[in-house]
Amino acid sequence: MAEKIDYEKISDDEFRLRFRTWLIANFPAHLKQNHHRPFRRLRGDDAVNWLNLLDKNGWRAPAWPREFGGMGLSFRKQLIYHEELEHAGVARVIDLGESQLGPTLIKCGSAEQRAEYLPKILSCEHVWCQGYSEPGAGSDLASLRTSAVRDRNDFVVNGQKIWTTQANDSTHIFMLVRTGQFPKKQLGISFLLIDLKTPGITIRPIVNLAGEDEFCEVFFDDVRVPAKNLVGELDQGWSVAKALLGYERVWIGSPVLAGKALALANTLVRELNLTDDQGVMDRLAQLSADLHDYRLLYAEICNGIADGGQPGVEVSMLKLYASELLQGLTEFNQEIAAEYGGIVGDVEIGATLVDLHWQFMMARPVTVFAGANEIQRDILAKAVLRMAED
Amino acid sequence: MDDISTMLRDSAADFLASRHDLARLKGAIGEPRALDRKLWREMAELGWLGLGLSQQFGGDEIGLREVTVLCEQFGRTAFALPYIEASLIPALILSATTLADLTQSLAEKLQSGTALLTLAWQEQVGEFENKLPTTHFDGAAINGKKLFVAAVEADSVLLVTARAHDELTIVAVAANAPGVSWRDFAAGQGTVSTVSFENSPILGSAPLLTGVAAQHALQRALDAGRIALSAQLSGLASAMLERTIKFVNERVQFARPIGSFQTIRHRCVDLYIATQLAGATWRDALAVFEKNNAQEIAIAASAAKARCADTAQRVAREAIQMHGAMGFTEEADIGLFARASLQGYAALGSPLQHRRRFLQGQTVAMQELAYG
Ligand SMILES: Cc1cc2nc3c(=O)[nH]c(=O)nc-3n(C[C@H](O)[C@H](O)[C@H](O)COP(=O)(O)OP(=O)(O)OC[C@H]3O[C@@H](n4cnc5c(N)ncnc54)[C@H](O)[C@@H]3O)c2cc1C
Repeated sequence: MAEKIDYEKISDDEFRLRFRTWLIANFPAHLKQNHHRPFRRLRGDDAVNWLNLLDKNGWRAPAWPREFGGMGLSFRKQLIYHEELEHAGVARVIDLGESQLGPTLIKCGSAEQRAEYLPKILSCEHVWCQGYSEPGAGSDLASLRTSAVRDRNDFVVNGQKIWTTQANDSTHIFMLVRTGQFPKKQLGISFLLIDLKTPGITIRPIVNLAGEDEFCEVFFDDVRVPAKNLVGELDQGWSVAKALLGYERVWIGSPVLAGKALALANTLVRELNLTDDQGVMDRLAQLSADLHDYRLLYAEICNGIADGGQPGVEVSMLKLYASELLQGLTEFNQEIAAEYGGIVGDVEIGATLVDLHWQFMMARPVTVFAGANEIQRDILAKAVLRMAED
Repeated sequence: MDDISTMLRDSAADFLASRHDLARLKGAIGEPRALDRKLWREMAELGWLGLGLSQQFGGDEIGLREVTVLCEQFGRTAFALPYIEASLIPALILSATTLADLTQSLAEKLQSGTALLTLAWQEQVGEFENKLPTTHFDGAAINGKKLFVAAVEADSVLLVTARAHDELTIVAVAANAPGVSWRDFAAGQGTVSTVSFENSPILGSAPLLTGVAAQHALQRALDAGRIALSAQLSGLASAMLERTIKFVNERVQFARPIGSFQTIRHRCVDLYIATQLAGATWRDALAVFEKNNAQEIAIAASAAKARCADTAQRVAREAIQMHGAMGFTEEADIGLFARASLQGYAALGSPLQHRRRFLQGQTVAMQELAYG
């Protein structure tokens, strides 16, 4: 393993340059995002190989402190890191161990849990998925019912999770489970770590509208989990899960995907010879300005955090705006393509291979996951605008 | 609704309830599929194929009105067969030709479902039928390329628009004739093809239609297709909304049906209004069609196609959202309706193009009104 560099000792520009140079030399060209797969995500071996390469070269886990094997980057350098990934067309990896569980353990886990899990997250020996949602508990997450009952040194888990992204690619799941009944539903929920190889677990993938089997149902039938896998206090899992929410909403509000969709829009306009079509160009101008202006707001808020602020509830607006802009762009792409817009799957428009159905469908759930937009609007009305409630 | 329409609607509803299985459309996303010949034959037995054929070809003067009744039901159930492209449009083209052995036999094939008939006219994305095609007919064979052609299979007969002596002609070409090749694409729930002709001989010894007659037949058939497609899109939109209302009334979060939240209720009301507008436009277009003035038909058909396509797309997007994560699954039916809407939206001209055609036509009509 390379000697860990302390990137905080070099300038932001130098950091940017180094990461950019390294990415150009190292990210496999065939895995890049492109107009055919503008929101490409890596899965399985492709994902693990890439994360291992990052790790070997000291580019893994930008937000983790150095003592836990991360890069220990300031928020500002984290922003640069993400900008460079975007710039290089690096496909996304849903690496919930790195982005969610690691920081949670660093904040709320025990010393043993950190020692046990953090290195294996970095090495991809463990691949984690998130088991929060249930058939009856979506937006109303606190009504979750999957139960964990203490039996000597174990919890016995029964119930069902759903929409668990990439459970079928994962080795482990971090879960919210019901351990107690209290008048307030958020109490009595605990945060539990479970090895997916434990007897009694069944995983069933669900095919989505873009044809990918990315999310899953996970069933638990008398699954015995060592009690030491509890993170934080018993019945206090809600606060454990909420601890990271602010940062998560900053990253999920990133303008990156909208940027990819706009790039496709520009290419389509050219390939379809629409640059002289004033109606189309007016819409493109609007969308381009929307993204430009949104990048400014995003930067302003991120800079505030980089300057030492904390993400507040207002960051919910980032996810709202970015997700709806992304959808608007994919709709524009599908609409201006006229008859091509009805084609499902690959088609060449001019010299560009596209799959307009894929980009349209992949942009549907962004207004649903990580807190549906209707819920985010309620949060903003309540917590930011302090409006009356019914 | 008249008796025939009521009868057709009921028989369509019965047929679709017993013979059409949404589950069969799931999966294999992006793979072109062959037309379900068994269903197609059954539709022939019900007397649906060739509706719109004139009496000389054994048609019984059942026209677009009845076809829209069927198409609305097809939309309501996300039925996938290319009825408009492979029955209505060829029936109207054939009806404009003179009776001859060839046209007689084509009409019989159409009605019996023993071979597929389809119109191949479009050569550019986003183009309307007002341009002379570049596909060329030299008196014996044709050369050229057509886009977005439905129902192209080995036994299909293509009614192809071509240029001959700077005039429009419509010729019949067998898909299995020399020089005909095609590439299939999945489109919505169905399939469209890019078809190339290289010195492909025509069926019979002469074009089916030439000159002004061809131009009129083409525009009339395509506008009828647009009106029928509007009815289908309107059916899709209404069905998606009804399914969504049912879902949000049943889905409980925060100890209440999510349909009790104001933002959900208001959205459903707005979508309801949108579907009512859509219905009004295609019903009007149908009435205008029956009055037989090509210019007025173009305006009304374009207004309807633009409105119904936009509405179906909008309802599809909102319906997926209101279904939550469930709406993003291939298992839930709502996505099939959304996929069908994508194709209906795109086919025979997109809303953007149709609104322009509408405006252009309306402007002309207004000028005529003002200056006599
Ligand atoms: C692609 C994808 C990946 C996901 N990955 C994961 C994962 O890895 N792990 C995990 O645990 N979960 C995951 N989820 C689940 C996600 O968190 C839930 O979908 C989300 O919380 C919404 O819940 P729901 O789908 O049950 O919708 P519901 O809560 O049933 O909502 C349905 C509709 O009603 C609206 N609604 C609900 N309540 C209100 C209200 N009070 N006021 C107004 N409108 C309301 C919603 O906004 C939505 O439009 C994923 C979801 C998707 C789509």
